[in-house]
Amino acid sequence: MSTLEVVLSSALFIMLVTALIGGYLYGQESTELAGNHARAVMLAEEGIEVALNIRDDDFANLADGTHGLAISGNQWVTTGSQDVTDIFTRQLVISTIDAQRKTAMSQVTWQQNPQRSGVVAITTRLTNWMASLAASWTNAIGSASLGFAGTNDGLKIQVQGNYAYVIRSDGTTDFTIVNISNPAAPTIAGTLSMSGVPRNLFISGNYAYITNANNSGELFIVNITNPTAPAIVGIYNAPGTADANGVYVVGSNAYVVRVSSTSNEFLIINVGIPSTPFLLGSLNLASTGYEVVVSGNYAYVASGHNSQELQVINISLPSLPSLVGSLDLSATADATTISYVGTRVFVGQSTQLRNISIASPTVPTLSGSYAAGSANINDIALGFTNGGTYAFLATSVGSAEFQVVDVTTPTAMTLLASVDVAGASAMNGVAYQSTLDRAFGVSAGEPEFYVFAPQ
Amino acid sequence: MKSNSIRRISAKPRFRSRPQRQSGFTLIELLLYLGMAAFLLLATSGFLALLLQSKAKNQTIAEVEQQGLQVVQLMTQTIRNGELITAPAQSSSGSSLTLDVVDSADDPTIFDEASGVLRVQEGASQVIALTNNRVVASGLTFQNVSRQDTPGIVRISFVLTHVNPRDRNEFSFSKTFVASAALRHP
Repeated sequence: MSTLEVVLSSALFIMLVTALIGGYLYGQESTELAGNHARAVMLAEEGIEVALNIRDDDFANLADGTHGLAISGNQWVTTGSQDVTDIFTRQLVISTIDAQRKTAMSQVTWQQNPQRSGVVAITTRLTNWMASLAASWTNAIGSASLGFAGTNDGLKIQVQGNYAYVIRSDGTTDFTIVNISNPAAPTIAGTLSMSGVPRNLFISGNYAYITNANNSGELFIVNITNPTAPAIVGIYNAPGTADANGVYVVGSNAYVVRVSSTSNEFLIINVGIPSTPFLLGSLNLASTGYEVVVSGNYAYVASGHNSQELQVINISLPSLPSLVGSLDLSATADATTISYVGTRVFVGQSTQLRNISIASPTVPTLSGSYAAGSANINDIALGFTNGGTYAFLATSVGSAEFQVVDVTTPTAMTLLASVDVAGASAMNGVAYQSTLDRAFGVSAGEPEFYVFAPQ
Repeated sequence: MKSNSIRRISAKPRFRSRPQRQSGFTLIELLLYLGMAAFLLLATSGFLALLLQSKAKNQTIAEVEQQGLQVVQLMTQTIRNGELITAPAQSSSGSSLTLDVVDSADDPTIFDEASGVLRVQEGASQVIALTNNRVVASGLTFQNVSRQDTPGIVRISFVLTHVNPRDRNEFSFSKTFVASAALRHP
């Protein structure tokens, strides 16, 4: 046997022995590492489970940051920035995604051997599943109602803050203030009797501006500072005897439209001093003005004119208002109610809700229509809710007196929901309160006052 | 004549075969080879024994790990899907866990330990052993650490030990399993 053979065989032998010993040692270590990894996974999973239980207690308990976990007082709590179990260090990292969602990451680290560390991280999203979902108007309900003394019809309604202001057809109390701070249980706060028959109203600050059929007082100004004791502080007697219909107030000016007569139908009245209102200017509309809204230098009138159902009046000079535009809507039915938002006005013309663009104020253009049913639309209130623009309609449709229409897309206005108010009485007026996300209606029947809620 | 005799005399040795050296091991060589062979045999045998012992140890560890993990996963999964933790009560610990589960046929589902065997009983069904006779369970504890008015969370801990009647190292392995599970049912 040569020396070379001896060296070769020895080398082979040593390599064989090294491989076998290496295999043995690594095999042992691998079993140990696998066990440690499994334990790390269980600890990480425990971190997520604990975060779930803490979330279930109160979503607000999940404070953003890096936490350790411990059992204290027989419940899991976050403590410090990490917790240690044997060779494992665990951290629970909470971060916010949005108001109702958080990310939870449970991470476990350990030293596998002097050269290598191990990490197991499990991430999940935690939602505030107990948070109240925003109610949807696609499921509108009549949530409460309130009967007034007597049987006079409810005519129109406006809301401001925690109060709803209602006018009724002539009676002993034809102006009623309703406390709606708890919409589930509205209560009468105060009442007032006026001479004549109220026709419409507008609330601005501490005053209610109420139009009237009274021949010696077409506009009543009522101080509502004390809701329990509303008081008439001023009356404006317009020229002629035509009944006043709609009213809209901007600053110190009240804009009033009237029934067609030999007198001018459009009036601009200064109400800066409520006790002494006086006329600034007027305009002959040649037809009945039912309601009016004001945007910028223009007033928009829902009219009885057969070819000008929407009339646009330039009011930049209050002493000299002028008709600068109009829109002839289909058919000859009167436009009886109007509301506006941004560059759109919504007109109720008989059974039709008309969506009209006033981007160019003097050239209003019809964008779309919605048919409310077999009877008239009596009032329109607009609201931004559930991420869209909704029109709340008070109608005479016997099976759907209250209707919610999504008008976000002018060319495709769609009915979201309707409420059949008990009896066949028409819903005459409607108003929307955005803070409460409630619509309030007044009816010709009993009870007079209704609250409508999304579900 | 003289030259012939000389040639004969000189030729004789030419045809006489020289005595040859016999091949073989010396005693030292023999002893050396025997020693080396014995060393190799001993080393190989020892190593084989070590490998067999290692294999047995790995099997022991795997037996405990796999059974423990399987039991933990079954328990945590059942808790997560449960409707209510019946026992132990909130802020209490116990050696058994009673769950109200969705399927009424499996109500109640009870986890416990008896004679070193982890078990589950679903409703009126027979008790099912979750661990085999190669491991012994001990120290089974369920800790109800639920917060008030929450679906609940349970911390499970138990020790699994491989049976080792002859106290041999390769069968000596014990491990503590700890896990928690929160109920998903609101």
